[in-house]
Amino acid sequence: MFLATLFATALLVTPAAHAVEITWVGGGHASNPQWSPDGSWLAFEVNNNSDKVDLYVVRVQNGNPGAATKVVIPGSSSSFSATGSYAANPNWHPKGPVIFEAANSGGLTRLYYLQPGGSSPAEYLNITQAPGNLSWPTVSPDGTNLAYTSSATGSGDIYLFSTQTSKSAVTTSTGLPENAPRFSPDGKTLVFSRKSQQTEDVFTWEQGATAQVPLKGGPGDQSRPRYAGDKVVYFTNERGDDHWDVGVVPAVAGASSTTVAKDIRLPLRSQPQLTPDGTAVIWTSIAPNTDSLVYVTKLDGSGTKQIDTKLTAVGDAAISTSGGRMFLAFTALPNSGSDWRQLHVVDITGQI
Amino acid sequence: MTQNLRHLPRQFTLSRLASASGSLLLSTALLGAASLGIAPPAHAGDVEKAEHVRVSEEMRKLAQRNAWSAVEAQFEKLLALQSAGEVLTVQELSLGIQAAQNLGDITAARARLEQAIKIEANPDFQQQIQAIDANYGHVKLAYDKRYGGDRVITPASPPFAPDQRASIAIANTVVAAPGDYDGLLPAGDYSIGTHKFTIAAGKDSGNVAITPSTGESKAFAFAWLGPRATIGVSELVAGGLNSTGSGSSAGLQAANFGGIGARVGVGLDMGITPHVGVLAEVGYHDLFGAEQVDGSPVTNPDGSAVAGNSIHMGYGWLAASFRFDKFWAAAGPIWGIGGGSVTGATGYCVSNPTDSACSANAGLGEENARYQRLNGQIMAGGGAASVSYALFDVGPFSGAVTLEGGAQTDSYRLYPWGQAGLTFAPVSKAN
Repeated sequence: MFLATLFATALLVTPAAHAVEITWVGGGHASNPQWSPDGSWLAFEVNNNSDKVDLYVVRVQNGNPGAATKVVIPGSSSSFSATGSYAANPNWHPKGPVIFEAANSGGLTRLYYLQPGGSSPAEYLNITQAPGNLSWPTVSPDGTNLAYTSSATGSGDIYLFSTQTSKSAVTTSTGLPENAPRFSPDGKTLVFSRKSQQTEDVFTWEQGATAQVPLKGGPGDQSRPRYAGDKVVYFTNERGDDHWDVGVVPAVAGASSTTVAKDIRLPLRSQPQLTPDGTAVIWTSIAPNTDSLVYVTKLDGSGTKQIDTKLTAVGDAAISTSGGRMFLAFTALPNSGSDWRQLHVVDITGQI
Repeated sequence: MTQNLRHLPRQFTLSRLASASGSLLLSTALLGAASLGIAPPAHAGDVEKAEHVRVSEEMRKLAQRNAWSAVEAQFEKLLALQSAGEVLTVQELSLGIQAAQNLGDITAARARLEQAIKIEANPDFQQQIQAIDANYGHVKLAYDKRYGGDRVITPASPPFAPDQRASIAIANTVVAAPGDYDGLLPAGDYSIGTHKFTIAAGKDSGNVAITPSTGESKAFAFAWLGPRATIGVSELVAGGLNSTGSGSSAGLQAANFGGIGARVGVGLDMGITPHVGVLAEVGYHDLFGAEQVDGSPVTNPDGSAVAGNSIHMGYGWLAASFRFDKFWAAAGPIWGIGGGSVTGATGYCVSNPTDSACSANAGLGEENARYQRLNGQIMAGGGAASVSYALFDVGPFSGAVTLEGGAQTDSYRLYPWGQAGLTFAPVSKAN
């Protein structure tokens, strides 16, 4: 109902083709699907509601997923056991490998590197290069820099690792926790969120600068930002804890923000998902009678399209292109037979 | 995988590993590869089984902490246990492979994967070999001895993958030793000084000769250079006259004699290569001894002791010197000149007193010749050699114990000698 008010353009609901379910051994909820840059791999998380999280990778060819493979970090076996581990937050390098955060039971959370279909995962930065718990890895568009957060200073700072120098350096050390860094398209600037006094705001930091620049604050949280061209897209609950929206703000200090989607189903861990051309945000809704739909909303406010998955409680949608076709990955409860949220892939070529 | 690659596994194994001996892990890889291929003995004892469980558990815990150097050490223990009859599990083998990969020794990791496949046809192992071949290529980087430029292997674009970065670091450790590198490197463009080369994934890029170009020739530097001194006690013997010395033209000659003395030399020792150099030494050699016959001192007819024998001689020695760590050696020609005083004469004129050539010594007779005091000059050339063992360093010098010996001749007789002494020589710069 609110959508009709929010967007002047007419909504076009397109039924999706039959979605293919990705399977894995054992239960658990799928979440946070992330496409590889070439659209041939998906990395996703599986958790079983007991704070145990596994990471899986699956090869997808022409929309047909193969068997999902659980990523086993060195020294671990099954995460769904007393000696389990945690592996999550996959981020793809532009040339193929995936970087993720992981920890063995009781151990530090570290960054790992995996070439799908290749060798076993390996720790990306050793404890000497980067002490502490590491998380939120993200790779620059040219693949030469890695940003991540570290607990080394005790408050959660963002570090930048350069493959040119093989060294990490803190961007700006503050007494406040910073999270979820993402590179600008030119790789020179990071956007991230900072928690302060129970709220979370968006900041940017340009490499070489000594100060971090506030980009979006205000009531509530502005969280998990990412660049979309010259704009920054983020989640916000400025309307209250139970209302998560998608906001957009030009990546210029002092610019006004707009809300492009309201009452979204907040993804468990990922940043806002964009279409491959970066012009639209992909989201799902918690509004009644909309839980089979995936929305694709133009960041300039010019329109929204819907894709009807025919499944329920749809969330964590992500789109990629491969071989000239466009594919949508999303999580949803199956129509029957399981209480676990499954991961699906469907060909949506020509629908957005 | 190309046809070439089908042959790579053989090329990458032991011989290539052995030649890259400077790598942190290559010796381990050699051990591992060899051990993995050994059929275990029939029985392992309870001690070995218990140790196997302990080491395996320790290795797993270390892997959880990403302590790969320590994992590698534990894996070596497992290989030793394997030789004692224990059978390694796939998980243990995998950790050994992961250790090599994480430490950047991809050459060793690949060799271990090949050996692991022979034990268990695990598709993961094959997949990992394919992944290595998809990202790495083989190269032998042969540095010319004259090359004095930058030895660092620099990728045109530093790889993102940690194992690839580590493998380049390992290779740089080997070439900085200094040495040649023979193994796997990530595919891509590289430079070493002004040399550029490309490594193709899954291919053998062959030998890359790093030769000096303009401005890259290594500046000559002595491996060791400085003064050398040797001092010690010596024994010198003046041997029997040869046919020339016994001839009529030789005149009156001293009878055989010998004795203990001192010998001291100073010179300059120059290492031209790390093991070979040149030694030039001058010194003083003396001898003091009582005239004896059959081990008893000779006395004058009146019972008094005859005057003792003595030699004071200077010498010059030019030698090739050699060094192999603490062992030194030198050998070369020596020439000495000096004088001596000896009691007891011999020679043609003693045995042929009536010969016209001996008119100057007429009436000497053999009995008188026995007490005849002779003063004369010695000029003798020959050869000398020494061996030393370095024991300690003092500042720029190494101290060594030395045994030295030689033999010189004045054409009438041979003068063999030996010396035990202490040598101080310049420290090798390689040290």
